[in-house]
Amino acid sequence: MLDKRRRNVLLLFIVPALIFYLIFWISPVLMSFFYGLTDWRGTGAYEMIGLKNYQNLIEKGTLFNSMGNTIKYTLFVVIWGNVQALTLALILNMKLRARGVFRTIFYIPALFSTIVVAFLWGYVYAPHYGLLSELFTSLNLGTAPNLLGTRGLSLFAAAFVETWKTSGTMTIIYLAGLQNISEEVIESAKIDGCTGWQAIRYVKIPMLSNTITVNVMLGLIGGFKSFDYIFALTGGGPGKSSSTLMYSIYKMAFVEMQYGKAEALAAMAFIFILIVSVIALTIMKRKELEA
Amino acid sequence: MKKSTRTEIFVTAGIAVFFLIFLSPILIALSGSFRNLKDTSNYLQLFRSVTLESYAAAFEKMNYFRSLKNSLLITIISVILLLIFCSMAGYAIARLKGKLGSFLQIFFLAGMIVSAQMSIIPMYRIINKIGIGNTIAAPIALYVTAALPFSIFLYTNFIKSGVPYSLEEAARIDGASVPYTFVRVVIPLTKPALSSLVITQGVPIWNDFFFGMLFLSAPTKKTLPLMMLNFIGDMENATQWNMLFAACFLSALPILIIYSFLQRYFVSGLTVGAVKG
Repeated sequence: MLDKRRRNVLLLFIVPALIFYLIFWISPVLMSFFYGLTDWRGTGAYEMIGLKNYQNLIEKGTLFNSMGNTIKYTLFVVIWGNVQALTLALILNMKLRARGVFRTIFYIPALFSTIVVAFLWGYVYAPHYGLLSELFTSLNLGTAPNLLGTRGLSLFAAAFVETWKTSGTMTIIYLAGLQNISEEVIESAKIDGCTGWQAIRYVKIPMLSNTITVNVMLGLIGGFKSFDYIFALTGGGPGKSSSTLMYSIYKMAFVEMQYGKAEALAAMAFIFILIVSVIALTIMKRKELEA
Repeated sequence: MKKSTRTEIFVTAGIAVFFLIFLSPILIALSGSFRNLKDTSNYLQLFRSVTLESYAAAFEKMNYFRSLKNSLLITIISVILLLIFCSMAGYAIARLKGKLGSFLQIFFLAGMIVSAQMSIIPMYRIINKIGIGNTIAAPIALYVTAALPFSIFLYTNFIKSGVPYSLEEAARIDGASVPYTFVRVVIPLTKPALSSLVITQGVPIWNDFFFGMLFLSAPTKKTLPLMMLNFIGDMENATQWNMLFAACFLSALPILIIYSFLQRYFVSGLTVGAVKG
Protein backbone atom coordinates (compact mmCIF):
# COMPACT_ATOMS: atom_id res chain seq x y z
CA MET A 1 0.00 0.00 0.00
CA LEU A 2 0.96 3.58 -0.49
CA ASP A 3 2.62 5.18 2.43
CA LYS A 4 2.00 8.82 3.15
CA ARG A 5 5.19 10.14 1.60
CA ARG A 6 4.63 8.35 -1.72
CA ARG A 7 1.05 9.57 -1.78
CA ASN A 8 2.23 13.16 -1.36
CA VAL A 9 4.67 12.78 -4.22
CA LEU A 10 1.86 11.46 -6.41
CA LEU A 11 -0.29 14.46 -5.45
CA LEU A 12 2.56 16.76 -6.51
CA PHE A 13 2.57 15.02 -9.90
CA ILE A 14 -0.94 16.33 -10.54
CA VAL A 15 -0.10 19.95 -9.74
CA PRO A 16 1.22 21.19 -13.15
CA ALA A 17 -1.77 19.82 -15.08
CA LEU A 18 -4.17 20.99 -12.40
CA ILE A 19 -2.81 24.56 -12.41
CA PHE A 20 -3.19 24.90 -16.18
CA TYR A 21 -6.58 23.26 -16.13
CA LEU A 22 -7.90 25.52 -13.35
CA ILE A 23 -6.47 28.76 -14.75
CA PHE A 24 -7.18 28.36 -18.46
CA TRP A 25 -10.18 26.02 -18.57
CA ILE A 26 -12.27 25.98 -15.38
CA SER A 27 -12.02 29.58 -14.22
CA PRO A 28 -12.94 31.04 -17.67
CA VAL A 29 -16.08 28.89 -17.65
CA LEU A 30 -17.03 30.05 -14.14
CA MET A 31 -16.27 33.68 -15.05
CA SER A 32 -18.41 33.41 -18.16
CA PHE A 33 -21.36 32.25 -16.05
CA PHE A 34 -20.88 35.43 -14.04
CA TYR A 35 -20.57 37.76 -17.05
CA GLY A 36 -23.79 36.25 -18.40
CA LEU A 37 -25.61 38.04 -15.59
CA THR A 38 -24.19 41.46 -16.55
CA ASP A 39 -24.58 43.97 -19.36
CA TRP A 40 -20.79 44.15 -19.90
CA ARG A 41 -19.75 45.32 -23.35
CA GLY A 42 -16.02 44.70 -23.10
CA THR A 43 -14.85 48.03 -21.72
CA GLY A 44 -15.81 50.16 -18.79
CA ALA A 45 -18.20 49.46 -15.98
CA TYR A 46 -21.00 46.95 -16.00
CA GLU A 47 -24.10 46.29 -13.99
CA MET A 48 -25.72 43.13 -12.77
CA ILE A 49 -28.90 42.72 -14.74
CA GLY A 50 -30.02 39.34 -13.45
CA LEU A 51 -31.55 37.04 -16.01
CA LYS A 52 -32.30 39.77 -18.59
CA ASN A 53 -29.77 38.37 -21.09
CA TYR A 54 -31.39 34.97 -20.83
CA GLN A 55 -34.85 36.48 -21.27
CA ASN A 56 -33.67 38.42 -24.32
CA LEU A 57 -32.07 35.35 -25.93
CA ILE A 58 -35.24 33.34 -25.48
CA GLU A 59 -37.66 36.08 -26.58
CA LYS A 60 -35.67 37.09 -29.67
CA GLY A 61 -35.47 33.45 -30.75
CA THR A 62 -31.64 33.44 -30.77
CA LEU A 63 -31.44 30.54 -28.34
CA PHE A 64 -33.85 28.26 -30.20
CA ASN A 65 -32.50 29.15 -33.62
CA SER A 66 -28.89 28.38 -32.76
CA MET A 67 -29.79 25.38 -30.63
CA GLY A 68 -32.00 23.98 -33.39
CA ASN A 69 -29.23 24.48 -35.94
CA THR A 70 -26.73 22.76 -33.65
CA ILE A 71 -29.07 19.80 -33.20
CA LYS A 72 -29.66 19.48 -36.97
CA TYR A 73 -25.93 19.75 -37.68
CA THR A 74 -25.11 17.20 -34.99
CA LEU A 75 -27.74 14.69 -36.17
CA PHE A 76 -26.39 14.94 -39.69
CA VAL A 77 -22.80 14.47 -38.53
CA VAL A 78 -23.67 11.52 -36.27
CA ILE A 79 -25.92 9.69 -38.76
CA TRP A 80 -24.21 10.38 -42.07
CA GLY A 81 -20.74 10.33 -40.52
CA ASN A 82 -21.28 6.84 -39.14
CA VAL A 83 -22.93 5.45 -42.27
CA GLN A 84 -20.08 6.82 -44.36
CA ALA A 85 -17.32 5.60 -42.05
CA LEU A 86 -18.81 2.11 -41.61
CA THR A 87 -19.18 1.78 -45.40
CA LEU A 88 -15.59 2.90 -45.91
CA ALA A 89 -14.37 0.48 -43.24
CA LEU A 90 -16.24 -2.44 -44.82
CA ILE A 91 -14.72 -1.53 -48.20
CA LEU A 92 -11.19 -1.23 -46.77
CA ASN A 93 -11.59 -4.52 -44.91
CA MET A 94 -12.13 -6.47 -48.16
CA LYS A 95 -9.28 -8.77 -49.12
CA LEU A 96 -8.06 -7.02 -52.26
CA ARG A 97 -4.56 -6.73 -53.63
CA ALA A 98 -4.97 -2.94 -53.94
CA ARG A 99 -6.06 -2.65 -50.30
CA GLY A 100 -2.79 -1.01 -49.23
CA VAL A 101 -3.26 1.90 -51.64
CA PHE A 102 -6.87 2.50 -50.58
CA ARG A 103 -5.86 2.33 -46.94
CA THR A 104 -3.28 5.04 -47.55
CA ILE A 105 -5.43 7.53 -49.45
CA PHE A 106 -8.71 7.41 -47.53
CA TYR A 107 -7.11 9.12 -44.53
CA ILE A 108 -5.76 12.14 -46.41
CA PRO A 109 -8.72 14.51 -45.69
CA ALA A 110 -8.11 14.03 -41.96
CA LEU A 111 -4.59 15.45 -42.31
CA PHE A 112 -5.63 18.85 -43.62
CA SER A 113 -6.34 21.84 -41.40
CA THR A 114 -10.04 22.72 -41.14
CA ILE A 115 -9.24 26.06 -42.76
CA VAL A 116 -7.63 24.27 -45.74
CA VAL A 117 -10.63 21.94 -45.97
CA ALA A 118 -12.87 25.01 -45.93
CA PHE A 119 -10.95 26.41 -48.92
CA LEU A 120 -11.21 23.12 -50.85
CA TRP A 121 -14.96 22.93 -50.27
CA GLY A 122 -15.44 26.64 -50.72
CA TYR A 123 -14.25 26.01 -54.26
CA VAL A 124 -16.51 22.96 -54.70
CA TYR A 125 -19.58 24.96 -53.61
CA ALA A 126 -18.71 28.29 -55.26
CA PRO A 127 -21.51 29.55 -57.51
CA HIS A 128 -20.71 30.17 -61.22
CA TYR A 129 -17.20 28.75 -61.29
CA GLY A 130 -16.99 26.09 -58.54
CA LEU A 131 -16.62 22.35 -59.04
CA LEU A 132 -20.34 21.60 -58.72
CA SER A 133 -21.11 24.44 -61.09
CA GLU A 134 -18.64 23.21 -63.72
CA LEU A 135 -19.92 19.66 -63.32
CA PHE A 136 -23.53 20.75 -63.88
CA THR A 137 -22.53 22.74 -66.97
CA SER A 138 -20.46 19.87 -68.40
CA LEU A 139 -23.33 17.43 -67.94
CA ASN A 140 -25.89 19.94 -69.32
CA LEU A 141 -27.84 19.93 -66.08
CA GLY A 142 -28.38 23.71 -66.03
CA THR A 143 -27.32 25.90 -63.13
CA ALA A 144 -25.99 24.18 -60.01
CA PRO A 145 -27.78 25.02 -56.75
CA ASN A 146 -25.95 27.57 -54.64
CA LEU A 147 -25.70 25.33 -51.60
CA LEU A 148 -24.01 27.83 -49.27
CA GLY A 149 -26.40 30.63 -50.24
CA THR A 150 -29.67 28.76 -49.74
CA ARG A 151 -31.59 28.76 -46.48
CA GLY A 152 -31.98 25.28 -45.09
CA LEU A 153 -29.18 23.88 -47.25
CA SER A 154 -26.11 25.84 -46.14
CA LEU A 155 -26.14 24.23 -42.69
CA PHE A 156 -26.06 20.73 -44.17
CA ALA A 157 -23.51 21.70 -46.83
CA ALA A 158 -21.20 22.69 -43.95
CA ALA A 159 -22.06 19.56 -41.95
CA PHE A 160 -21.22 17.42 -44.98
CA VAL A 161 -17.75 18.97 -45.10
CA GLU A 162 -17.31 18.07 -41.43
CA THR A 163 -18.15 14.40 -42.16
CA TRP A 164 -15.77 14.40 -45.12
CA LYS A 165 -12.94 15.67 -42.96
CA THR A 166 -13.61 13.36 -39.99
CA SER A 167 -14.30 10.25 -42.09
CA GLY A 168 -10.67 9.12 -41.84
CA THR A 169 -10.62 9.04 -38.05
CA MET A 170 -14.02 7.36 -37.68
CA THR A 171 -13.14 4.80 -40.36
CA ILE A 172 -9.92 3.78 -38.63
CA ILE A 173 -11.86 3.20 -35.44
CA TYR A 174 -14.41 1.04 -37.32
CA LEU A 175 -11.61 -0.86 -39.06
CA ALA A 176 -10.06 -1.72 -35.70
CA GLY A 177 -13.47 -2.86 -34.48
CA LEU A 178 -13.99 -5.03 -37.55
CA GLN A 179 -10.60 -6.64 -37.11
CA ASN A 180 -11.58 -7.64 -33.58
CA ILE A 181 -14.39 -9.84 -34.94
CA SER A 182 -12.94 -13.30 -35.41
CA GLU A 183 -13.04 -14.96 -38.82
CA GLU A 184 -14.65 -18.03 -37.26
CA VAL A 185 -17.79 -16.13 -36.28
CA ILE A 186 -18.29 -14.89 -39.85
CA GLU A 187 -17.49 -18.33 -41.27
CA SER A 188 -19.99 -20.11 -39.06
CA ALA A 189 -22.63 -17.50 -39.94
CA LYS A 190 -21.99 -18.24 -43.61
CA ILE A 191 -22.24 -22.00 -43.03
CA ASP A 192 -25.59 -21.37 -41.33
CA GLY A 193 -26.71 -19.77 -44.60
CA CYS A 194 -26.13 -16.03 -44.00
CA THR A 195 -25.83 -13.89 -47.14
CA GLY A 196 -23.11 -11.21 -47.26
CA TRP A 197 -25.54 -8.48 -46.26
CA GLN A 198 -27.08 -10.57 -43.48
CA ALA A 199 -23.60 -11.23 -42.09
CA ILE A 200 -23.05 -7.47 -41.93
CA ARG A 201 -26.47 -6.61 -40.52
CA TYR A 202 -26.94 -9.40 -37.98
CA VAL A 203 -23.37 -10.38 -37.05
CA LYS A 204 -20.90 -7.57 -37.70
CA ILE A 205 -22.97 -4.52 -36.68
CA PRO A 206 -24.14 -5.96 -33.33
CA MET A 207 -20.57 -7.01 -32.56
CA LEU A 208 -19.41 -3.47 -33.29
CA SER A 209 -21.63 -1.87 -30.64
CA ASN A 210 -18.61 -0.73 -28.58
CA THR A 211 -17.08 0.90 -31.62
CA ILE A 212 -20.37 2.52 -32.61
CA THR A 213 -20.57 4.09 -29.14
CA VAL A 214 -17.12 5.64 -29.56
CA ASN A 215 -17.97 7.03 -32.99
CA VAL A 216 -21.40 8.33 -31.97
CA MET A 217 -19.77 10.17 -29.07
CA LEU A 218 -17.11 11.56 -31.41
CA GLY A 219 -19.86 12.76 -33.76
CA LEU A 220 -21.84 14.31 -30.91
CA ILE A 221 -18.83 16.20 -29.58
CA GLY A 222 -17.85 17.36 -33.07
CA GLY A 223 -21.41 18.46 -33.83
CA PHE A 224 -21.96 20.37 -30.59
CA LYS A 225 -18.69 22.21 -31.01
CA SER A 226 -19.32 22.94 -34.70
CA PHE A 227 -17.67 26.23 -35.46
CA ASP A 228 -14.90 26.07 -38.08
CA TYR A 229 -16.94 25.36 -41.22
CA ILE A 230 -19.76 27.70 -40.24
CA PHE A 231 -17.15 30.40 -39.58
CA ALA A 232 -15.22 29.85 -42.83
CA LEU A 233 -17.95 28.77 -45.26
CA THR A 234 -21.37 30.20 -44.39
CA GLY A 235 -20.70 32.92 -41.78
CA GLY A 236 -23.91 31.69 -40.13
CA GLY A 237 -25.91 32.70 -43.19
CA PRO A 238 -27.96 33.26 -45.19
CA GLY A 239 -29.40 35.43 -42.42
CA LYS A 240 -28.94 33.38 -39.27
CA SER A 241 -30.12 30.15 -40.85
CA SER A 242 -26.87 28.26 -40.25
CA SER A 243 -25.72 29.94 -37.06
CA THR A 244 -24.81 27.23 -34.54
CA LEU A 245 -24.40 27.76 -30.79
CA MET A 246 -20.61 28.15 -30.89
CA TYR A 247 -20.74 30.44 -33.90
CA SER A 248 -23.50 32.61 -32.37
CA ILE A 249 -21.51 32.96 -29.15
CA TYR A 250 -18.35 33.90 -31.04
CA LYS A 251 -20.16 36.43 -33.22
CA MET A 252 -22.01 38.06 -30.35
CA ALA A 253 -18.80 38.41 -28.37
CA PHE A 254 -16.26 39.37 -31.00
CA VAL A 255 -18.28 41.04 -33.75
CA GLU A 256 -21.28 42.56 -31.96
CA MET A 257 -19.42 43.23 -28.69
CA GLN A 258 -22.32 41.94 -26.60
CA TYR A 259 -20.18 40.11 -24.09
CA GLY A 260 -22.80 39.66 -21.38
CA LYS A 261 -25.33 38.21 -23.79
CA ALA A 262 -22.74 35.95 -25.44
CA GLU A 263 -21.80 34.45 -22.08
CA ALA A 264 -25.43 33.89 -21.13
CA LEU A 265 -25.80 31.89 -24.35
CA ALA A 266 -22.57 30.05 -23.53
CA ALA A 267 -23.93 29.06 -20.12
CA MET A 268 -27.08 27.65 -21.72
CA ALA A 269 -25.01 25.84 -24.35
CA PHE A 270 -22.88 24.34 -21.58
CA ILE A 271 -25.89 22.99 -19.71
CA PHE A 272 -27.46 21.71 -22.93
CA ILE A 273 -24.30 19.84 -23.99
CA LEU A 274 -23.83 18.42 -20.48
CA ILE A 275 -27.38 17.04 -20.39
CA VAL A 276 -27.26 15.55 -23.90
CA SER A 277 -23.83 13.96 -23.32
CA VAL A 278 -24.96 12.28 -20.10
CA ILE A 279 -28.20 11.03 -21.71
CA ALA A 280 -26.38 9.75 -24.81
CA LEU A 281 -23.73 7.97 -22.78
CA THR A 282 -26.36 6.31 -20.56
CA ILE A 283 -28.41 5.10 -23.54
CA MET A 284 -25.38 3.82 -25.42
CA LYS A 285 -24.06 1.96 -22.34
CA ARG A 286 -27.44 0.26 -21.89
CA LYS A 287 -27.54 -0.74 -25.58
CA GLU A 288 -24.05 -2.14 -25.34
CA LEU A 289 -25.08 -4.35 -22.43
CA GLU A 290 -28.09 -5.64 -24.35
CA ALA A 291 -26.10 -6.44 -27.46
CA MET B 1 -9.47 -18.99 -59.62
CA LYS B 2 -9.78 -17.07 -62.85
CA LYS B 3 -13.31 -15.98 -62.05
CA SER B 4 -12.36 -14.60 -58.65
CA THR B 5 -9.51 -12.61 -60.20
CA ARG B 6 -11.99 -11.02 -62.61
CA THR B 7 -14.38 -10.19 -59.75
CA GLU B 8 -11.51 -8.64 -57.87
CA ILE B 9 -10.63 -6.42 -60.82
CA PHE B 10 -14.23 -5.20 -61.07
CA VAL B 11 -14.50 -4.55 -57.36
CA THR B 12 -11.13 -2.80 -57.29
CA ALA B 13 -12.11 -0.59 -60.24
CA GLY B 14 -15.42 0.27 -58.56
CA ILE B 15 -13.68 1.25 -55.33
CA ALA B 16 -11.10 3.27 -57.29
CA VAL B 17 -13.89 5.28 -58.96
CA PHE B 18 -15.54 5.81 -55.59
CA PHE B 19 -12.31 7.20 -54.10
CA LEU B 20 -11.76 9.37 -57.17
CA ILE B 21 -15.12 11.04 -56.51
CA PHE B 22 -14.69 11.09 -52.74
CA LEU B 23 -11.28 12.77 -52.98
CA SER B 24 -12.12 14.91 -56.04
CA PRO B 25 -11.87 18.23 -54.14
CA ILE B 26 -8.24 17.38 -53.37
CA LEU B 27 -7.51 16.19 -56.90
CA ILE B 28 -9.00 19.27 -58.56
CA ALA B 29 -7.17 21.55 -56.15
CA LEU B 30 -3.88 19.75 -56.77
CA SER B 31 -4.34 20.10 -60.53
CA GLY B 32 -5.29 23.77 -60.13
CA SER B 33 -2.28 24.50 -57.97
CA PHE B 34 0.02 23.55 -60.87
CA ARG B 35 -1.64 25.96 -63.31
CA ASN B 36 -0.58 29.43 -64.31
CA LEU B 37 -1.84 32.08 -61.92
CA LYS B 38 -4.56 33.42 -64.21
CA ASP B 39 -5.67 30.18 -65.86
CA THR B 40 -9.32 29.82 -64.83
CA SER B 41 -10.49 27.64 -67.70
CA ASN B 42 -12.59 24.60 -66.86
CA TYR B 43 -11.05 22.92 -63.81
CA LEU B 44 -12.36 19.52 -64.85
CA GLN B 45 -9.49 19.42 -67.37
CA LEU B 46 -7.01 17.95 -64.96
CA PHE B 47 -3.33 18.85 -65.13
CA ARG B 48 -3.61 20.75 -68.43
CA SER B 49 -0.40 22.53 -67.55
CA VAL B 50 2.26 22.02 -64.94
CA THR B 51 4.12 25.09 -63.72
CA LEU B 52 5.21 26.21 -60.27
CA GLU B 53 4.09 29.82 -60.82
CA SER B 54 1.18 29.57 -58.36
CA TYR B 55 3.37 27.88 -55.77
CA ALA B 56 5.96 30.63 -56.07
CA ALA B 57 3.28 33.27 -55.53
CA ALA B 58 1.76 31.43 -52.57
CA PHE B 59 5.19 30.75 -51.08
CA GLU B 60 5.95 34.44 -51.03
CA LYS B 61 2.51 35.61 -49.91
CA MET B 62 2.48 33.16 -47.00
CA ASN B 63 6.01 34.07 -45.96
CA TYR B 64 6.40 30.33 -45.95
CA PHE B 65 9.57 29.67 -43.99
CA ARG B 66 8.66 32.11 -41.24
CA SER B 67 5.15 30.65 -40.88
CA LEU B 68 6.52 27.12 -40.99
CA LYS B 69 8.99 27.94 -38.24
CA ASN B 70 6.20 29.46 -36.10
CA SER B 71 3.97 26.42 -36.65
CA LEU B 72 6.77 24.02 -35.76
CA LEU B 73 7.77 25.97 -32.66
CA ILE B 74 4.23 26.22 -31.27
CA THR B 75 3.33 22.61 -32.05
CA ILE B 76 6.51 21.06 -30.67
CA ILE B 77 6.50 23.04 -27.42
CA SER B 78 2.79 22.37 -26.89
CA VAL B 79 3.10 18.63 -27.48
CA ILE B 80 6.14 18.27 -25.19
CA LEU B 81 4.45 20.16 -22.36
CA LEU B 82 1.27 18.18 -22.90
CA LEU B 83 3.11 14.85 -22.69
CA ILE B 84 4.90 15.87 -19.48
CA PHE B 85 1.80 17.23 -17.74
CA CYS B 86 -0.61 14.52 -18.79
CA SER B 87 1.71 11.58 -18.10
CA MET B 88 2.53 12.86 -14.62
CA ALA B 89 -1.10 13.60 -13.77
CA GLY B 90 -2.43 10.49 -15.49
CA TYR B 91 0.01 8.24 -13.66
CA ALA B 92 -0.81 9.78 -10.29
CA ILE B 93 -4.56 9.51 -10.91
CA ALA B 94 -4.22 5.86 -11.90
CA ARG B 95 -2.29 5.02 -8.75
CA LEU B 96 -4.13 7.14 -6.19
CA LYS B 97 -6.52 4.75 -4.53
CA GLY B 98 -9.93 5.70 -3.25
CA LYS B 99 -12.29 8.55 -3.94
CA LEU B 100 -9.71 11.21 -4.79
CA GLY B 101 -8.39 9.29 -7.81
CA SER B 102 -11.79 8.68 -9.35
CA PHE B 103 -12.94 12.22 -8.58
CA LEU B 104 -9.89 13.70 -10.34
CA GLN B 105 -10.40 11.45 -13.33
CA ILE B 106 -13.97 12.66 -13.80
CA PHE B 107 -13.03 16.25 -12.99
CA PHE B 108 -10.51 16.34 -15.83
CA LEU B 109 -12.70 14.36 -18.22
CA ALA B 110 -15.58 16.81 -17.71
CA GLY B 111 -13.45 19.44 -19.44
CA MET B 112 -14.23 17.73 -22.72
CA ILE B 113 -17.70 19.24 -22.86
CA VAL B 114 -16.25 22.74 -22.71
CA SER B 115 -15.55 24.35 -26.05
CA ALA B 116 -13.12 27.25 -26.29
CA GLN B 117 -15.73 29.50 -27.93
CA MET B 118 -17.82 29.35 -24.76
CA SER B 119 -15.41 31.29 -22.62
CA ILE B 120 -13.15 33.20 -24.96
CA ILE B 121 -13.61 36.57 -23.30
CA PRO B 122 -12.59 35.43 -19.82
CA MET B 123 -9.73 33.47 -21.43
CA TYR B 124 -8.67 36.59 -23.22
CA ARG B 125 -8.68 38.61 -19.99
CA ILE B 126 -6.73 35.96 -18.07
CA ILE B 127 -4.11 35.69 -20.82
CA ASN B 128 -3.64 39.47 -20.84
CA LYS B 129 -3.55 39.69 -17.06
CA ILE B 130 -0.75 37.12 -16.90
CA GLY B 131 1.07 39.22 -19.48
CA ILE B 132 1.41 36.65 -22.25
CA GLY B 133 -1.04 38.30 -24.67
CA ASN B 134 0.28 38.37 -28.25
CA THR B 135 3.14 35.99 -27.49
CA ILE B 136 3.33 32.37 -28.57
CA ALA B 137 2.97 31.41 -24.91
CA ALA B 138 -0.74 32.25 -25.12
CA PRO B 139 -1.78 29.70 -27.78
CA ILE B 140 0.68 27.17 -26.30
CA ALA B 141 -0.92 27.41 -22.86
CA LEU B 142 -4.36 26.95 -24.38
CA TYR B 143 -3.40 24.07 -26.67
CA VAL B 144 -1.89 22.20 -23.73
CA THR B 145 -4.91 22.87 -21.53
CA ALA B 146 -7.50 22.06 -24.17
CA ALA B 147 -5.83 18.71 -24.84
CA LEU B 148 -5.49 17.74 -21.16
CA PRO B 149 -8.98 16.27 -20.56
CA PHE B 150 -8.79 13.65 -23.32
CA SER B 151 -5.07 12.98 -22.86
CA ILE B 152 -5.25 12.37 -19.11
CA PHE B 153 -8.26 10.12 -19.62
CA LEU B 154 -6.44 8.04 -22.24
CA TYR B 155 -3.20 7.85 -20.28
CA THR B 156 -4.89 6.88 -16.99
CA ASN B 157 -6.84 4.10 -18.68
CA PHE B 158 -3.73 2.87 -20.44
CA ILE B 159 -1.88 2.52 -17.14
CA LYS B 160 -4.81 0.90 -15.38
CA SER B 161 -5.19 -1.74 -18.07
CA GLY B 162 -1.62 -2.12 -19.32
CA VAL B 163 0.97 -1.45 -16.61
CA PRO B 164 1.09 -4.10 -13.88
CA TYR B 165 1.40 -2.60 -10.43
CA SER B 166 3.68 -5.48 -9.37
CA LEU B 167 6.52 -3.95 -11.43
CA GLU B 168 6.35 -0.69 -9.51
CA GLU B 169 6.04 -2.64 -6.29
CA ALA B 170 9.26 -4.47 -7.12
CA ALA B 171 11.03 -1.20 -7.89
CA ARG B 172 9.80 0.23 -4.59
CA ILE B 173 11.13 -2.75 -2.61
CA ASP B 174 14.48 -2.18 -4.33
CA GLY B 175 14.35 1.32 -2.85
CA ALA B 176 13.39 3.34 -5.95
CA SER B 177 11.64 6.66 -5.40
CA VAL B 178 8.33 7.55 -7.08
CA PRO B 179 9.88 9.88 -9.69
CA TYR B 180 12.55 7.27 -10.53
CA THR B 181 9.95 4.51 -10.92
CA PHE B 182 7.84 6.82 -13.07
CA VAL B 183 10.66 7.71 -15.45
CA ARG B 184 12.39 4.31 -15.58
CA VAL B 185 9.47 1.87 -15.34
CA VAL B 186 6.20 3.60 -16.26
CA ILE B 187 7.25 5.86 -19.14
CA PRO B 188 8.91 3.08 -21.19
CA LEU B 189 5.85 0.86 -20.74
CA THR B 190 3.45 3.59 -21.87
CA LYS B 191 5.21 4.52 -25.09
CA PRO B 192 2.23 3.39 -27.25
CA ALA B 193 -0.06 5.78 -25.35
CA LEU B 194 2.44 8.62 -25.62
CA SER B 195 2.98 8.18 -29.35
CA SER B 196 -0.79 7.98 -29.80
CA LEU B 197 -1.10 11.34 -28.03
CA VAL B 198 1.60 12.91 -30.21
CA ILE B 199 -0.53 12.10 -33.26
CA THR B 200 -4.09 12.54 -32.00
CA GLN B 201 -3.27 15.83 -30.23
CA GLY B 202 -0.31 17.07 -32.28
CA VAL B 203 -2.05 17.06 -35.66
CA PRO B 204 -5.03 19.17 -34.47
CA ILE B 205 -2.65 21.60 -32.72
CA TRP B 206 -0.61 21.94 -35.92
CA ASN B 207 -3.80 22.53 -37.91
CA ASP B 208 -5.65 24.84 -35.51
CA PHE B 209 -6.32 28.48 -36.31
CA PHE B 210 -8.71 29.50 -33.52
CA PHE B 211 -6.36 30.24 -30.60
CA GLY B 212 -3.86 31.79 -32.98
CA MET B 213 -6.57 33.99 -34.45
CA LEU B 214 -7.47 35.26 -30.97
CA PHE B 215 -4.02 35.65 -29.47
CA LEU B 216 -1.47 36.21 -32.23
CA SER B 217 -2.14 39.41 -34.13
CA ALA B 218 1.51 40.22 -34.90
CA PRO B 219 2.25 39.14 -38.50
CA THR B 220 5.70 37.85 -37.53
CA LYS B 221 4.18 35.26 -35.19
CA LYS B 222 1.58 33.82 -37.53
CA THR B 223 1.43 30.07 -38.21
CA LEU B 224 0.56 28.37 -41.51
CA PRO B 225 -3.19 28.01 -40.78
CA LEU B 226 -3.27 31.68 -39.76
CA MET B 227 -1.73 32.67 -43.08
CA MET B 228 -4.52 30.69 -44.77
CA LEU B 229 -7.01 32.63 -42.69
CA ASN B 230 -5.60 35.84 -44.15
CA PHE B 231 -6.63 34.64 -47.60
CA ILE B 232 -10.25 34.08 -46.70
CA GLY B 233 -11.38 37.25 -48.43
CA ASP B 234 -9.82 36.01 -51.69
CA MET B 235 -12.34 33.16 -51.84
CA GLU B 236 -14.77 35.51 -53.59
CA ASN B 237 -12.23 36.23 -56.29
CA ALA B 238 -12.15 33.57 -59.02
CA THR B 239 -8.76 34.71 -60.32
CA GLN B 240 -7.06 33.97 -56.99
CA TRP B 241 -7.91 30.29 -56.82
CA ASN B 242 -4.74 28.80 -58.29
CA MET B 243 -2.66 30.67 -55.73
CA LEU B 244 -5.08 29.58 -52.97
CA PHE B 245 -4.84 25.94 -54.04
CA ALA B 246 -1.05 26.12 -53.97
CA ALA B 247 -1.24 27.70 -50.51
CA CYS B 248 -3.49 24.84 -49.32
CA PHE B 249 -0.92 22.23 -50.34
CA LEU B 250 2.02 24.23 -49.04
CA SER B 251 0.43 24.45 -45.62
CA ALA B 252 -0.47 20.73 -45.61
CA LEU B 253 2.89 19.62 -46.99
CA PRO B 254 4.75 19.00 -43.70
CA ILE B 255 1.94 16.79 -42.33
CA LEU B 256 1.62 14.95 -45.65
CA ILE B 257 5.35 14.18 -45.58
CA ILE B 258 5.19 12.97 -41.98
CA TYR B 259 2.15 10.84 -42.81
CA SER B 260 3.90 9.20 -45.74
CA PHE B 261 6.70 8.03 -43.45
CA LEU B 262 4.78 7.27 -40.27
CA GLN B 263 1.45 6.04 -41.64
CA ARG B 264 1.57 2.98 -39.38
CA TYR B 265 1.62 5.16 -36.28
CA PHE B 266 -1.32 7.24 -37.48
CA VAL B 267 -3.46 4.12 -37.70
CA SER B 268 -2.34 2.47 -34.48
CA GLY B 269 -2.26 5.80 -32.63
CA LEU B 270 -5.93 6.50 -33.26
CA THR B 271 -7.07 3.16 -31.91
CA VAL B 272 -5.21 3.21 -28.57
CA GLY B 273 -7.96 3.74 -26.06
CA ALA B 274 -10.73 3.93 -28.66
CA VAL B 275 -11.24 0.20 -29.07
CA LYS B 276 -10.69 -2.33 -26.38
CA GLY B 277 -10.62 -6.03 -27.19
